[in-house]
Amino acid sequence: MNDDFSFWKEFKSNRKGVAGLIIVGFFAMMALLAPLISPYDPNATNPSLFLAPSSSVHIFGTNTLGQDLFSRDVYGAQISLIVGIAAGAVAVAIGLVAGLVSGYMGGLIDEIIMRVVDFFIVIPAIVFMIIVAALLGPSLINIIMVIGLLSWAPTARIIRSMVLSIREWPFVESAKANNAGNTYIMFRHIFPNVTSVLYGNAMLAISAAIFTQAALVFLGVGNVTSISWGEIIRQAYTTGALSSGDMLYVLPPGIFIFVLIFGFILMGYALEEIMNPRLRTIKG
Amino acid sequence: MIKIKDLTVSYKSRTGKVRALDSVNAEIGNGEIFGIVGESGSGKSTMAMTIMGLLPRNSLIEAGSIEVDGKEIIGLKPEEARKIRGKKISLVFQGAMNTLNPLMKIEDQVAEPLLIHREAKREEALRRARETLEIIGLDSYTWKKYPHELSGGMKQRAVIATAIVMNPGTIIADEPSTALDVITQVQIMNILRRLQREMDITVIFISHDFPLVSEMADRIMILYGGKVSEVGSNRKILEEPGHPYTRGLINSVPTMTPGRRLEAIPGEPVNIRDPPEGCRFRPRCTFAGEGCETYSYKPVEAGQGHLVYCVKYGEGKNAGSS
Amino acid sequence: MSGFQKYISKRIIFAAISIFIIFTFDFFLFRLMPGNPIQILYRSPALSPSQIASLEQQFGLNLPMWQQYLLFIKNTFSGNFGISIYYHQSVSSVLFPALLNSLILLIPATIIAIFLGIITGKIAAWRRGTTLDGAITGGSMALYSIPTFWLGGMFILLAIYTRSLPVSGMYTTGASFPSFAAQLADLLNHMILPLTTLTLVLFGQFTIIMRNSLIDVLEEDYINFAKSKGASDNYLLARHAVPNAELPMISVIAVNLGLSVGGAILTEVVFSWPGIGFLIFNAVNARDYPVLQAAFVIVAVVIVLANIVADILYSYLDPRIRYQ
Repeated sequence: MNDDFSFWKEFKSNRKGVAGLIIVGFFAMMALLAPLISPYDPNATNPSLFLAPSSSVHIFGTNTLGQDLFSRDVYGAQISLIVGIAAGAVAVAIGLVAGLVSGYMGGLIDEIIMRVVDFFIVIPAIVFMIIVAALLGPSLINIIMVIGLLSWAPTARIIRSMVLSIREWPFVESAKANNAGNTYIMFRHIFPNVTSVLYGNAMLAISAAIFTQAALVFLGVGNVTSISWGEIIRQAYTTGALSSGDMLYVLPPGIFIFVLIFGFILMGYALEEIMNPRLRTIKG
Repeated sequence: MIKIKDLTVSYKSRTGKVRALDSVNAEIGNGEIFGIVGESGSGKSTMAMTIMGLLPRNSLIEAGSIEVDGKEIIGLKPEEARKIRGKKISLVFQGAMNTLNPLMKIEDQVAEPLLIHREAKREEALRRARETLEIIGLDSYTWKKYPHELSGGMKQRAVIATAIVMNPGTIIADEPSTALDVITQVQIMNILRRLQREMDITVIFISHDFPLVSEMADRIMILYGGKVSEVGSNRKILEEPGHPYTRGLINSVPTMTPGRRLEAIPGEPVNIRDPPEGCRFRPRCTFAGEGCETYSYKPVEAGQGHLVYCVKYGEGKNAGSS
Repeated sequence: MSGFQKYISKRIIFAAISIFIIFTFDFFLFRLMPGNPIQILYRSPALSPSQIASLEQQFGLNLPMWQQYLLFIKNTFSGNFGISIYYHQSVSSVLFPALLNSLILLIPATIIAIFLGIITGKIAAWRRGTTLDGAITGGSMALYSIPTFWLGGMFILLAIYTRSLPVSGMYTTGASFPSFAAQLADLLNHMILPLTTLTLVLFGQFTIIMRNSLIDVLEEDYINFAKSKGASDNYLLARHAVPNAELPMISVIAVNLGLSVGGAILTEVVFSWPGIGFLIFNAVNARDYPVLQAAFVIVAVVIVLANIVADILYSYLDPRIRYQ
């Protein structure tokens, strides 16, 4: 399992994983190359083009400010990926440390951390996020921190359950016998053995963060001034573009969110399958 | 009477086909305890599962036949095969930890075969289940309990009760006492022996534990790497072992005889993904030499019903060290 | 005390502590944020001087923080959440009808989604490795990935095109109903689209949970043992596999309730369903902080209580806890 080469080989033969990687790669290129791909400055307004329909110059049409929707859809990939990856990283990092400490230390510390985890799993995070984002103001960093700080609990739980079995392994015993410090054992000996689970979990955390960011923006508490897919959909609702049936206004951003999340989920699921062969769909 | 002929079973895996059993022959007589010994990978559990018709989906019976009381059971339709399981042949599983459904009461689980085979209505089935539990030594205190409320030994008794509730001709006990403590192990063995004697049940007893099998069985078959290496009556096998592997097994058993050295069999167990040419035991055998590489597993008769699968035995050249 | 009672009391104590922490969070969140929004709002010109005076007295807004905190806890327990800035009436008179409306939508959606999810999850697990399994698993992951607010939009488009179903609210605006049956028919008609949206969003996730849970169970020894008794496939699934797979599902579903709330809020906003999610959405836009503060507490308490119910149900259905 720890052999990088065989891991990559397994991943390559997993169709879900490869499909997910292609999807995510596609959107990563879209975000990086946005200035080259988009035909217009996504922020350039043109009062004469109020909700212009699709045409050969504006293939998805324009919004109420006359901004080119295609360009905005392309640029939207940036925010989704930045928030998704950053918030996912915050969540996974906190979850990892909490899970390692909880599982390794055991006893009262474990009990306390696990009750905190239970608490964070139970409370309706989305309501909390809406309120905090509304109170704090919707800067990019606020959104990332709010999502990250409220999404770490599931990771902590999974990591802890793995640590519980790993800490019984002989090499941990022998490290203890050699008087290695707790922090050293946790990060040098146990951490490398939980990374396998971490990858899959990180993908799922990212997909959840992308979803949450879009939802918050849609509800009007996200960063509504920057270009994002959630914002385009929100505008489609508020400007009446949706009810007038303007397909090219609403379809692309929704499909982009959907496909990007699906890509991360596919990758996460593939990684889980590689680590837990019981779940495999295609045996062989 | 169970007749196994040229049974060859393999598993499909990523790296190709793995043969778990290769041209195995055996005859198991009514009312006897037939022991099958082998280390892991010898094919002993595959044999149990093949007879039960419970091989996993990635397996394939390449050749051979199994006749139960004169009736072929390989290739039966699922519906037909189902009628044999639990009714004519039943299984006592390895260990006792997770063999029972945690959500069902003991008596319900024991009564289940009767309901599945529509042998009795619920009341009647429960009555017979309780009767059987009592025979096995589980009194009314346990009947309405859930598995987690019983000890390992009690659970294994319940499993045996389930296996015999339909009065099957044969039970297959696959490592029935592994994971139990020694005293419970002895009790389970005594129950199996009692069943064979008093109810005339054929017991196919499968274990990696050679001394245990030799204590229980009337006849013993020794498997090595998916092949039979020796088969014969208990007495013959213990007194005149013909195969070097069998002698290795006997010599690696601690005894009370003073001055006798304990010998382990040298080398690693055979890798069935890539077995050696000819005799599978060859790489670990001190007598290996000419002819072993091309050995085609033609048995040598060492006496009445005593077969040794060793080319050197035929030439009289494999004895000496023991 | 039996193991069962001990387990239940432990869970109830945890729930009580959770609720207490939620109250505390709620208090400080709205008071320690930049600008102390609560303090400002209760001086809002939207309220009459007599209302402000009464609020100051009830919530002790001129008292030290710790006394305000004690008053807040006391008031929250007695359902006194203050006055809505936007609606000009007591928060509880706005909140509880909205909560009821939410449950009218959320409970049937959850039940239908679980029911369908068990069926499809069962099929996928039993046919593991086949194309059918791949299609079900892939489809479920796709459903799980669809943004709720976008899926709802697609249904709205469809309904507008076909001029078939109402896309907003719970009842036809301004309609008066001759009978309860007519009112119910109107409600159900308005419910179809939001219910479908929410059910679909939840359905995929329950399918995957059931599939994975069942696949784990199918590897257990007792499944093979039941096969060795001569059980047919259908019997095996119904009597042994599914009951054992459903148990962990209860707790997974309970844990995921917090996540289901997200889907519910978005659905309500899209279809202007006058539930608590729509209320929160409007309160955010109107900066109606008393309503927000109360809504957070109510949703959290409902989820905690639902978890307690699931815990009790679980421990009752699992003999390993019931007869510990």
